[in-house]
Amino acid sequence: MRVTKNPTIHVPGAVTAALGVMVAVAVGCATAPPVELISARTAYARASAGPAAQLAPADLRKARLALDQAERAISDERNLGKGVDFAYIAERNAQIAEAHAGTALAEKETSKATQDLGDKQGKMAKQSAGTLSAARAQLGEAQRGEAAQAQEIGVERAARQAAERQADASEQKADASDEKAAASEQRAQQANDALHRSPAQPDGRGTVIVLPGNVLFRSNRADLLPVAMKRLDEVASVVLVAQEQNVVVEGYTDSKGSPWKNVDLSRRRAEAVRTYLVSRGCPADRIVARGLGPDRPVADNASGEGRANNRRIEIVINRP
Amino acid sequence: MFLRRLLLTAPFWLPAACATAGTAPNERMESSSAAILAAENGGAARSADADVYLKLAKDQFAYAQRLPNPNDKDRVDRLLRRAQVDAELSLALAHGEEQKTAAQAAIDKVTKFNRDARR
Repeated sequence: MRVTKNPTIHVPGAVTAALGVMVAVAVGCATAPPVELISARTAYARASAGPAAQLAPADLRKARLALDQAERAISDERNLGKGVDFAYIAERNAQIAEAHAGTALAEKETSKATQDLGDKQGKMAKQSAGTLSAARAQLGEAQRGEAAQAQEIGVERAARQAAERQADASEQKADASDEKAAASEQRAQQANDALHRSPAQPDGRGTVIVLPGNVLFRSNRADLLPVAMKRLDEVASVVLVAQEQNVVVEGYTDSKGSPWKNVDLSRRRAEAVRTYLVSRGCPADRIVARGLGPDRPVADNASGEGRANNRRIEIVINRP
Repeated sequence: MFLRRLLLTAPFWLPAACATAGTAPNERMESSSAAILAAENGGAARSADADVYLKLAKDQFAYAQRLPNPNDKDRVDRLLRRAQVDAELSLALAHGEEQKTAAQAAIDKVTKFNRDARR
């Protein structure tokens, strides 16, 4: 086989230039990388610059390998299809690396938030436990105080009830002896009445009419007995005669029992007498009722008879 | 001379070459199919982005099966690899979305807790 030498070719400058441009364009077209390779390079560069470099290095390595294969294959025109496929795989691997990195970051965030929440909840639970404990202590103290107070009240109440029972018992006894005394008093009074139909006696205040309590009222009551009205009618006639004089109705009791109760009872009794006198025509503006309780005793309160004498109504017709 | 030698030795290397080329696509098919299945089971259909790549994976897998020239084992292999990375990306995106949702929920809980605690 013979080898012939290439002949020397002479071409003008313009043609040379045109040929140069054509060659350059042709070379340019031949070396322009396919879109898949450009995308793969971009994806890989982006993934390498992001968190995937630290969080998904294995995926990035796969992408790098595929990209290298793509670059090698595409440099040979015969393997363009192969190169495009490798570029595709490289791009996906880079995307997978980014996705895995994103997942790892999200996991970290979840873990941090969960930890944060747990810490805060624990802190709050501790605070709540402290508050609860303090509240319980306060409540316990308050309950102990209440229990002590309730005990004191119970003791006081029991003492009071015992005292009341004792007082009731002695009052009942006293009532029994009062009734006896009243009977004897009544008998004495009846004798006195026989002697003095109008027991009006003058003293420093004026004319005083004394009416025994048991004649006018029942024991511990302030409503007039029917027999009292007859006596008071006589008194009313005297008061009506003394038209210009003021009249004071004074109620008295013995010294037994509560002074307050006695004063109240004597006041109600005096008021009952006054009301009756007014109802009989006596001028209301000249009659005053007063309850003096056990004041000014006229007899010894130690005996039943004395106490009976002290339970009385005095009607004082003042001097003109 | 070389071509003559190649043709003479063909009965020895051809079956081996065919056998090698034949097993590779089967393995690739298996791993590609497994990746698609994993993406499906991983909830890819529930995420819009993941679903796109899952569909791509399925399309390429189907295309590899009905390639005009089934003897182009290399092409089949590369198609299956493309299908596989698409499926893997689909699964990665699905997981990522789930994890981001979980992270947001955890952050929301912390925010709510802080807000409630300030009341």
